[in-house]
Amino acid sequence: MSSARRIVIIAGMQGRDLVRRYVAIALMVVLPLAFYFALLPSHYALLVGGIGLAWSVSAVGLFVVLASRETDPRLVLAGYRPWELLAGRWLLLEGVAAILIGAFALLFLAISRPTATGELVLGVSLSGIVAVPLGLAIGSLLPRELEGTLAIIALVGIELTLPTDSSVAPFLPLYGSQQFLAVAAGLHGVTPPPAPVSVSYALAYTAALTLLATLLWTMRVRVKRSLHRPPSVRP
Amino acid sequence: MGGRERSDSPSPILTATGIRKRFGRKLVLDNVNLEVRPGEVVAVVGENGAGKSTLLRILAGFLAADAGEVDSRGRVGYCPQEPGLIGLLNAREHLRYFGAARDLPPGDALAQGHELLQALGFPVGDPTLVQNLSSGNRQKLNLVLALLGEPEILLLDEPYQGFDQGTYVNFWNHVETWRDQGKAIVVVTHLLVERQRADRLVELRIPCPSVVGGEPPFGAS
Ligand SMILES: Nc1ncnc2c1ncn2[C@@H]1O[C@H](COP(=O)(O)OP(=O)(O)OP(=O)(O)O)[C@@H](O)[C@H]1O
Ligand SMILES: [Mg+2]
Repeated sequence: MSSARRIVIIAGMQGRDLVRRYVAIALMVVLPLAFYFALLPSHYALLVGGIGLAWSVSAVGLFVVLASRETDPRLVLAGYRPWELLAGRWLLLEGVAAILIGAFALLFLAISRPTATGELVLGVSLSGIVAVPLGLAIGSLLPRELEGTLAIIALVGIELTLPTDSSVAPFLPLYGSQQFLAVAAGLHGVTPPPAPVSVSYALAYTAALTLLATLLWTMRVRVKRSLHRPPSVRP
Repeated sequence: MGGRERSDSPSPILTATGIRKRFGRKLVLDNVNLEVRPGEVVAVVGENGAGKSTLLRILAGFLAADAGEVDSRGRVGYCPQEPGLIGLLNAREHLRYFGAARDLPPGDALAQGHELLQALGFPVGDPTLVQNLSSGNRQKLNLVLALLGEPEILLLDEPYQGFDQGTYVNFWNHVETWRDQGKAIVVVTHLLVERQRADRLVELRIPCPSVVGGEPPFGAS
């Protein structure tokens, strides 16, 4: 069986598991929208809603990774390569992210009617794109849903409370998205960085987080071979 | 270790030598040796907390030993004591998921899995999610996932927990069939009677000073 086919099966099975957690998923998606509607008509709502999308996507990622935490070593022993299992989840999450990006962007455009349409779409898209490996990395690092959720809340919360031109902002993964959303919301006091710089930030964080997620994941699920010799070999 | 090989039996397919494992300050396994050949059943016995599950996890590669070596020359089917299943998927979905890992197309995985489940008296076709199955039936699925794809080595950690009387008897008959098919079987068991069914016994103790390995055969030659 080809890796591609196995990855599709993995994505399909994890997708079924995900759909059956509909209450948790609905709450994850509704939360940022609740913030958005609560802040309307302020344009600040756009920034919170857009960054909030990253919260939804990474929280879903956390669930997808943790759902089969107990099962993953068995699946590897049965013959999946660790990267195939991760790729299956990644595929599923990219699908979820694409749907949420589309839905959130349309909703924001229809309700807030920002003049900087392109910036809004870019900001929302980058937020969802960075959140995929962010959720995978946190899910691979932290063992339980509570710890993982708190970590995501902390990270996204800091991004929301920091002024967009703060000197700390570039060190956080949603910086690029935040810059576009701030322009869309008309919040910039100082001139934002040029668009290619913000896009590069987002893509660089995506790449770095993907690498981190892959490393953490592989360490967690690989088969642990005991091959070392005992220190004192008995005759 | 050497020199014990019987001329009529094949060479070991799974060998563990000098296995040691500690958790913090607690020494759980110390210099444990085990070997199993195709067509052999090795029983791992010992009281609660003696390290039976830890040993099987090391053999399966779920856990690294602190010292010692595991050499396995075949595909491993591992049935853990705590079923590592996905609560929100049903039995059929588990068969497809695990089957693909073994390179079985979905149709073959279902056919093979359903046959095995049927033999254990699992209600085949029941769409109940695993989290809502009775614990005996969950355990049957747990065991069948280890058997899927016909691995040469079976590591079974108290696989019959929660089985009803009929299934339990049935299980030991299956063990004999698998042995006759040439599978190498390591099974954790507590019950004295069942030890008679094993070709060899590995007894673990707390705090595990040493271990009886390569005992003379108990049952079949
Ligand atoms: N992850 C762990 N961290 C710390 N201690 C552990 C861990 N896993 C096992 N132990 C300890 O190792 C010892 C052996 O545990 P193990 O589960 O292997 O026993 P067992 O022989 O399978 O017992 P049982 O018959 O109850 O299944 C126990 O004292 C247990 O507390
Ligand atoms: Mg045990």
